[in-house]
Amino acid sequence: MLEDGYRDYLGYRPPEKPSVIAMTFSAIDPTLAPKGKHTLFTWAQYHSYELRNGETWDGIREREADKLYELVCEYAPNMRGKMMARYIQTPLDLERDLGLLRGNVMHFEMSLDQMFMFRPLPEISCYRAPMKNLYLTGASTHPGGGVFGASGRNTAKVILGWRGLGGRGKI
Amino acid sequence: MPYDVVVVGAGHNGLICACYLAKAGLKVGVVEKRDMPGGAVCTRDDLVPGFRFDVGSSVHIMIHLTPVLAELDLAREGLEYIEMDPWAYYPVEGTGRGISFYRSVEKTCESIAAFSPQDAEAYRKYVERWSELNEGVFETFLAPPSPGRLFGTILKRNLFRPKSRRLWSSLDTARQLMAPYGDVIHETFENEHLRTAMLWLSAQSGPAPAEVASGDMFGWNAMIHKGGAKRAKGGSGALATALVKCLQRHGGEIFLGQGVKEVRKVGKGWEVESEDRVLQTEKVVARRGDLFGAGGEGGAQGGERMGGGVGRSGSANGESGRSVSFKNFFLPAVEGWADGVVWANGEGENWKWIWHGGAARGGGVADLFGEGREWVDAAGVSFGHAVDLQKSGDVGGWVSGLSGVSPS
Repeated sequence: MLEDGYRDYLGYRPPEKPSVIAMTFSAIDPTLAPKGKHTLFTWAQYHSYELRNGETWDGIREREADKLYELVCEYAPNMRGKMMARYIQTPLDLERDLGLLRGNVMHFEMSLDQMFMFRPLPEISCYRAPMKNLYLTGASTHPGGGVFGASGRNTAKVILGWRGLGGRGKI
Repeated sequence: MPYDVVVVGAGHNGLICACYLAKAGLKVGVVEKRDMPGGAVCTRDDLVPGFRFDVGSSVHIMIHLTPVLAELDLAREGLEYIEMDPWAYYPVEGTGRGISFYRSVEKTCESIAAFSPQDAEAYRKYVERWSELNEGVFETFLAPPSPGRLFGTILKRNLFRPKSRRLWSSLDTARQLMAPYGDVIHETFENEHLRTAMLWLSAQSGPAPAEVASGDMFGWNAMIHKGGAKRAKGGSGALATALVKCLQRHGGEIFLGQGVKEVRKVGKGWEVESEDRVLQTEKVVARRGDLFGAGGEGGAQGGERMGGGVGRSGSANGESGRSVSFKNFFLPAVEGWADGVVWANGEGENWKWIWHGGAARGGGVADLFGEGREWVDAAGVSFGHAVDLQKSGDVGGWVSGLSGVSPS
C-alpha cells in the first residue's frame, strides 16, 4: 500500500489508497477534548503537492480526507459515524498556512545528499548566509526537520562564537 | 544598535536560537508574520469549540535527545511532557492483534515475538547495532556540520569505544548506509508485518523505501528507545508558548502579526522592516526559504530538491543540478544599496549578488539573484529564473546553489 501510494505520488496524483498514521492524543492528554470526546489526528505521507491529473487540492480536499478517515474506520469500525467536525490540511494548505514550501514539512528532502554539510547547500551549510551578520536556522539547515531544536541551538552557537552558550564571557 | 540580533520567523528553531542568545545576554527581537508563535509547532483551540488541534507537528521525538529543554529550563516555563508508551502500534489486519513499540526494547521484542520469535531477536540486535551508530551520528547533529568536525566527532568517539569503532569500520555498515532502507529492512527481518511496520515508521522522514543511501532512515528508529516519543501537555504548541516565556524572561521581545517586508543592509547593521515597525540590528537570523525566497519551483534553488509533497518528486526541482561549488571565503562585501536592492560584486568576476526586498511569503524577506537573471514575481510564489547556469563555470563557481532552477 505504501508503495502504491508512492507510485501515485511520483505520478503527481492523489493516492488511491493512502497510508495513514492515526493518533488519538486526547487518550493520554485530557486537556485536548471535552470529557467523553476525543481528537483523532491522521497523517499520511506521500501526497504530491503538484497534481497533474487535472485536479486541484482545493477541489479534492474533502474527498482525500475521507480516504484517510475511511481507512481508520476499516481498522476501528466503531469510529464510523462518530465524527463531529474536522480540520483538513492539504500540502497546499501547509504551504499557505505554515509557509512550508511545496508542503514539505522537512523543508528540503531529508536525503543523504541534502544532509549534514550538504544542507541546504554546501556553501551555506554552517548557518552563515553569504553576507556578513546574516544567519540561517530552521529545518532547511543541519540537522533538518522535525521538532528538534538542534538547528536553532547550533545557529546560536555560531553567533555567540567563543562566548559559547553559557552567557557573555563564558566559553 | 537597539538590537544585537533580530530573528525573522518564530518557528521553534528561531525561538530556540533567540532564547539561547537572550540567555547569553544579547538583546534579541523575534518578528513573526502569524498571530501565533511556533510556526509548525502550533496548537489551535479556535477550530472546533472545546477541542485543541495541532496544526503542524504532533509528537516530539528528536528534541528529547538534545540538551535544549534542560538548558533553557523549559519545565520552569510550564512545559510538561507526557510519555507515549507504547509510541507506535501496528495493527495486523484480520487478527485483532498488532505489534507494539514500547520505550523498553524488551517489551517491544515480546510484542514482536508473538508474530516471529526470530524477528524478536533480530530486533534486539538491530537496536543494539543502530543505536551505537546513531549515538555517534547524533553527536554530529549538535554542532555545525563542517566535514572536519563531522568526521572528527566519529573518530573521537571511535577512539574510546571499541564497539563503535568496529561498527563504523565494518564494510557491511557502509553497505547498509548506502542501501535503500526498504532493502535493509527486508534483510533484517523475516516477518512481513514487522517489515511493513518498520517501513512505515522509516518513511516518516520523507525518503521512500527504494531510495539509495537511505539505510539510516530505518536505523534511526532505534534511537526512539533512547529518547522516547512524547507529547507536550496541552498540544505541540505548548513548546512554543514555553519558548516565548523563556525568551521574555531573558529580556527578549517577540512581535506577532508582523510579516517582514524587507531586510536591508544599512551601514554596518541591518534593518528589518515589518508591517508597522523597523528594527535596527547588528545581526539577522532567518530561515532559508524566506531568505532566498522561492527559486523556479517552490523554493528549490539549483541542486536542491524540495519534494512534491511530503517527500521527493523525482528530479523536477533539481534538473539544473549543482553546477559547481563556491568557497565560503569568497563571500562578497556589500557595496551599496538603492531602492531596496542591495548588490555586491563577487570575487574577481562579474557575478553579482542582488539582494531584493519585498518577497511576499511566510515571514518572507528577500531573494538573492545573480546578474542577468530575470526577476519574476508571480503571485508571491515563483521568483527567480536563471538565465545561464553554465556561466557559473566561468566565474570560479559562484552560481551554484543560490541560483534559480529554470534555465531559460
